[in-house]
Amino acid sequence: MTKVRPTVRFFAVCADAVLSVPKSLDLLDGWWELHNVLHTVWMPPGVSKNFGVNELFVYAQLTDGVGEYNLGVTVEEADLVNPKRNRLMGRSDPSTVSFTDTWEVLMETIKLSEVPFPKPGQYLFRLMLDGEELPGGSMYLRVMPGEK
Amino acid sequence: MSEENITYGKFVTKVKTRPAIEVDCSKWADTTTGDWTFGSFVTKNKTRPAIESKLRIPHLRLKVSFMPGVSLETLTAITKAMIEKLCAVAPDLNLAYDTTLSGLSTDSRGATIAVIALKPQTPGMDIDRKLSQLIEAARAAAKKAEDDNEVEIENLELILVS
Repeated sequence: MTKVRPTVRFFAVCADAVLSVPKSLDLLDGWWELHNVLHTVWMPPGVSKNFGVNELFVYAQLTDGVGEYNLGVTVEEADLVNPKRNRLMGRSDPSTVSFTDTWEVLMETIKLSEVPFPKPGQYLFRLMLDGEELPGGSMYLRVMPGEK
Repeated sequence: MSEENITYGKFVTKVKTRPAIEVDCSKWADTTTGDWTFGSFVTKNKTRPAIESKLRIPHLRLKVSFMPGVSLETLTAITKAMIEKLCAVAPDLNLAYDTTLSGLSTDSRGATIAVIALKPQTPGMDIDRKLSQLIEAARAAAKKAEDDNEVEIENLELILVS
């Protein structure tokens, strides 16, 4: 079977994601509910560095793919002036995703816990497939210092 | 397509879901050095309840009430001319004659009432903006019909039905 790399239909970082499973208990009929999709966030009042968020959810809708892949996410402290100077904060362990047909839509959620944000700035979340970035699978989270 | 042919309901989704992949990021930074705070972000989002809207394609309804004594042949010619005039006024709307919403009837005096329904085939265009031009065109077409066919139009109304 020829492998076809999937495309990203939707990608978001949010404060919470809840998987709703219908009475049939069939995950094929389930859906994800995203709560508070994030773009700009503030550290708590009085905190302006070394903040770790208890949990963050990365949600992606992938489709148009065929084959088995390793899916993961990386978080970088971004340098908007010179992207080569982005500093990799960490990456998730790869998780296998598999597409049997191009019409298939995979909704993948990665729950990140105790994510460190050493200082205010832009943090880049990237969706990785077999170690390579997927077009449309990146998002900046702007972290602001907490109010004094 | 008339409203009766539309089935309303919910989408069926066929997606593969599974529980979230859990990742412990506590090792990503050396949290043993320096003071670290763990907690939740503060967000300052502007939100409001969802805007509720129903999508509709408005159509034009031209009602022409003739005085008694107009033959079917004359009536057909008049309505055809009126349709052509209205379509020509708004070419960007791409108006199409809708037979399901159009028709002829007679009132208690035997006078004929013609209803012409025109639906835009370009739904994205602003039909409201064109309405005054269309009303003017309908009036002009009615006047011409009276002069050319020696008939009398008792009443004419053009409304936008949404």
